[in-house]
Amino acid sequence: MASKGNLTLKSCNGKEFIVEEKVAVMSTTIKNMVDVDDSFAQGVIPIIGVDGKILAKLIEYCKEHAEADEDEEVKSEEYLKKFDEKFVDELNLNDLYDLLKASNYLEITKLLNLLCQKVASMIKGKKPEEIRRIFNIKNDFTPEEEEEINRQNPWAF
Amino acid sequence: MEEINQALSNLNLGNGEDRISHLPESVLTRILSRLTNKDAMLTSIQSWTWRKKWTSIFNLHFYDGVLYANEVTNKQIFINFVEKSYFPWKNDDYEMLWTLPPCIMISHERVYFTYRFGNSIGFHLMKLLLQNAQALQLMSICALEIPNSWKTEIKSMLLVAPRASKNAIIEVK
Repeated sequence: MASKGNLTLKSCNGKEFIVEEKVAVMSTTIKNMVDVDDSFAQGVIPIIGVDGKILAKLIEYCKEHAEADEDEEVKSEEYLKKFDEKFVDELNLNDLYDLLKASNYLEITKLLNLLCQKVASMIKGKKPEEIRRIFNIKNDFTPEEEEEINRQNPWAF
Repeated sequence: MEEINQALSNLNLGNGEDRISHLPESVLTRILSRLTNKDAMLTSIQSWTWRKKWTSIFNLHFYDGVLYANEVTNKQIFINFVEKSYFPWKNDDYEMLWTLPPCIMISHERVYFTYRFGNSIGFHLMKLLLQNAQALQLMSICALEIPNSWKTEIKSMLLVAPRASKNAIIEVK
């Protein structure tokens, strides 16, 4: 049981994390849960569909940002920018997807935008076949269809 | 290509699954909206699943970075953009149209106009479509939930597109 001012978050594979409330409520979803139902604030908040590894990552991110919101002197904008860069650079593709889905579900908008920006930067300026390769997208066009697409989109190549 | 290989090795691709195509639609919209319109449109030629994903983007730029902010000055830019990017074919075969403006869906002989924007982009696009109705062999037009203020002008434009207006459905929000 978490002490006052702290919340307990439980991942879908049963890992529990005790975090400061200000960190947890970076998630609008959690904030709404706590605001609406007081029992969540005292008990355990289940984070459905998010495993321990991803939840730990989310908490790491929220902690830095909650602290920065509170005291700009200790954690400057510059510091946060560097932290964000490092945070997304270290992710592999699977973690990136898991975090995207989790931050979307938990409504951690800042993080969601950061991750979307990362994916966008991976797509930016690339040719379709390069994008397919990066993201394992299956090309399900027939050769005839592909020829037609290329014919209609000369500007794209 | 080297850059791609670098990106691939950095990402530690794991099981090689296509997970991006199955992200929630709202997440994909956020991602695609962070791209230039050209890059976003380009995703339509990844695979069948991606064909229309980009049409949900909520930012429409003209000439990459010129935003449709001022109706008078940017109107021509917009029209040029649409003409250049969206109607490069202007022949009878527009059934297989791969690059679609976000507020328009074209299938066979129907043009579906979807008003998604809180500004006048859609209106000008629709005007453009109607003005080009002859060249595009526009057969019908369906405009749902359009702002009331557009109605009169659209109706008068339909007069010059008799074929399209025959099957027109115009519904005010």
